[in-house]
Amino acid sequence: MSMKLNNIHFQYEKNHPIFEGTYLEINQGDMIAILGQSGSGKSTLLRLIAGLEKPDQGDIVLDEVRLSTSHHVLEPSKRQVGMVFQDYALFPHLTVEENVGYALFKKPKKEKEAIVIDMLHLIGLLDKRSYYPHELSGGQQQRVALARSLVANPKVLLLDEPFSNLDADLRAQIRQDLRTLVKSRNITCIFATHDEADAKAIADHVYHLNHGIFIKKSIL
Amino acid sequence: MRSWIQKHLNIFTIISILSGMLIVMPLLGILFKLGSPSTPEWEHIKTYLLKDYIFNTIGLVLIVAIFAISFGLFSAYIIARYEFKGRKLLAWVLVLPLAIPSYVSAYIYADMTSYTGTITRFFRLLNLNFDLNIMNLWGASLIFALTLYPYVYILALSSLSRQSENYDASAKLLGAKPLRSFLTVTLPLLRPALVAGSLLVILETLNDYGLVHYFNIRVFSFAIFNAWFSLGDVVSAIRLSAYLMVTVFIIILVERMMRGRKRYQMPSKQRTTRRIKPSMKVSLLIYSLIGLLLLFSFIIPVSQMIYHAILTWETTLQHNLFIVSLNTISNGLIAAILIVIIALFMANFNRMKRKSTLSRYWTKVSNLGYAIPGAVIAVSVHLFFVNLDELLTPLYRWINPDSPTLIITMSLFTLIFSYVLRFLSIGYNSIDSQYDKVGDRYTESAYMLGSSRLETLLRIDIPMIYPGIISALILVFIDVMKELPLTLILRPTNYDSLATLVYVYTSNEMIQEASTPSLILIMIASLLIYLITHFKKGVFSHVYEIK
Repeated sequence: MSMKLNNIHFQYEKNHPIFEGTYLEINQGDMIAILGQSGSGKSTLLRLIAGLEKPDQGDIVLDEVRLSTSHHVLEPSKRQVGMVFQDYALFPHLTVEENVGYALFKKPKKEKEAIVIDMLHLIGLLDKRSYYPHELSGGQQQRVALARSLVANPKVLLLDEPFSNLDADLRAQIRQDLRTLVKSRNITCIFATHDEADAKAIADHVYHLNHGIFIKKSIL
Repeated sequence: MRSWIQKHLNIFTIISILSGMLIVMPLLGILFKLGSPSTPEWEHIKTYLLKDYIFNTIGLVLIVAIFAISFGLFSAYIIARYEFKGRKLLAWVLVLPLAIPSYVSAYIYADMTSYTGTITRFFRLLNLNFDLNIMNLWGASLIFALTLYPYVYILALSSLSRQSENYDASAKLLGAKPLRSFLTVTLPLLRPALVAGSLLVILETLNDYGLVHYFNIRVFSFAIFNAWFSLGDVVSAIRLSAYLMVTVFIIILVERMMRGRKRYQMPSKQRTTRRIKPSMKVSLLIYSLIGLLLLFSFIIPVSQMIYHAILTWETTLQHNLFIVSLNTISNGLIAAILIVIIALFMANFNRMKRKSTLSRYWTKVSNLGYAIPGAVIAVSVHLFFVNLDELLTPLYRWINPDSPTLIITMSLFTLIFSYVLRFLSIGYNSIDSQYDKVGDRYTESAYMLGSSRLETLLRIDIPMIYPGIISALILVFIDVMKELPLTLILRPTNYDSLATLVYVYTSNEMIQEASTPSLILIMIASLLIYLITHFKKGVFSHVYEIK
């Protein structure tokens, strides 16, 4: 059970390639950090895996299912991939409870409520369930965004610069909480960061992304 | 005490407080007059007419808002989310219907659908005989929506173009199909823009007199004019005005309360939603639907006017059209410049005292004008200046024993004053929102380097907020140029603007002759719309961005 990126080519503009034949293989339950400078293609890599961008060439495979090729991209809603964005993208008009329960619209009301309450309890924000995102601190917003993604039971979780909006004091605590939460669910996790300390603190493996062209593995 | 005065009393505070007082006093006058004893005319209105006025007004406003939101939201979504040939051109052309005053469009469509009108004759040629009567509530609503939807369009387009793409991406990753994502995320986040846009549409509809008078739709503005000019009863006009004013404030208040603690935007530096290239079929559908909207809102009425103008140019050009155009342009310019100056001082006053609730409310109250229909402002300004003239009569008589009594009331000053009162908020909002974008740090740096407040305004603020100033000038100018009810009531004797000239022609059933002044008005407004949507850092700069 693994995720594979085979020979990925991608460019936003002609003659400005971001990936030219990139390969990556990640084992089930691994926590991977993609380390690179701004503009190196970290976020683009995550967007390709999420199905928000289509590769120009190559394919992305998860558990033998081809998620993306240059001809076909499985809809993001059907890929079982969750993503936490750098700005968290919490829906500002919905409460914490409504945000966390957003993916559960097909579930009966009572079941949905029970799942949301369990999740809020797990992240320690049950008492903030009726708050709106702007009424929470940066760390709390990050936890809500994480909970919202986990509630949908993704096989792969993508995190785009998850700690960039947090104070240094809060980072250490949140990093450990995140690792515990993700590991307890055996989810494959890929997170993009430009901070080496973040990468080393929680990842099983760190990959350097240089100029967006190839990925070099460095084992801790 | 002296240091307190030195700290708080400066040119910004003085001008803001004085202009605010001048604006608020006439409006308070209306509320004070409410206690006047009831007249037989009021009893008649209350018993037989008031119910109709209320139901017609609510019905009209609701239907107009629904139509305008549909047209505005649809076109904004297409321009913001799709990349197709001609998108940039359509982006600003879709604003052009705003150049056509609703009453002008109404005269044209009423004429075209009359027994001898172009549309009816066209149908008769096809052997289709039916009576297409648009001079009713539904017809009026559709015409209002076709000419006013750009208010919704501009605000919705701006909001959609700035929405972070991560909201939509999150919804998709959480299992939402495009329709669910649109209904549960995109649309709710547009709420402030849709509410603000439809509120402008509603206020413009309540303000109109030309269209409802011509179509004989008995709504409040019609009633105010009727009470004042047909029944000769100012007290009833004041009461109706007060009812309308209170209703408008209740609508605004209820909307604010319904928002509660919700927010519709979170600070984000993320990329805004990228536009997608539509398929051939979707492109064709887009061109057809947008084309249809532009056909009915702009192309048909303007083409008919051009045809009429060609037929009647010999008659209309004999009229003092040049003087009337000059009147309109000079009025617009004077009002726009005055408003920008006052708005600059007020915006600065508000910034300096950002933490003071009193100054915040003072600025809000001073900007109430746009929420109050022209007929109401006309009543209040007229009464205010009549009282002032009465107070000053001994002075007039001392200077000239044969002097008339209503010198200020009958002068152009009253008209310009009423424009400032009504349109100040448009200028203020443009300038204040630009100040918000720029922030306080440059102004504060200038103060720290020893600049006085006035010097900072001239050397630092104005060069930085000029896009807001240009927007304010153009928007106020367009509004003043199209304005009818205020101008009709408060204009000096034998004074005409393009709007009143159109009204006079159509009141005499000279629809064709009304076309030339209407076209001049539309041409000037269209040119200004082109400017406001094209100047650097202008309102559409984000719409033209390549994504």
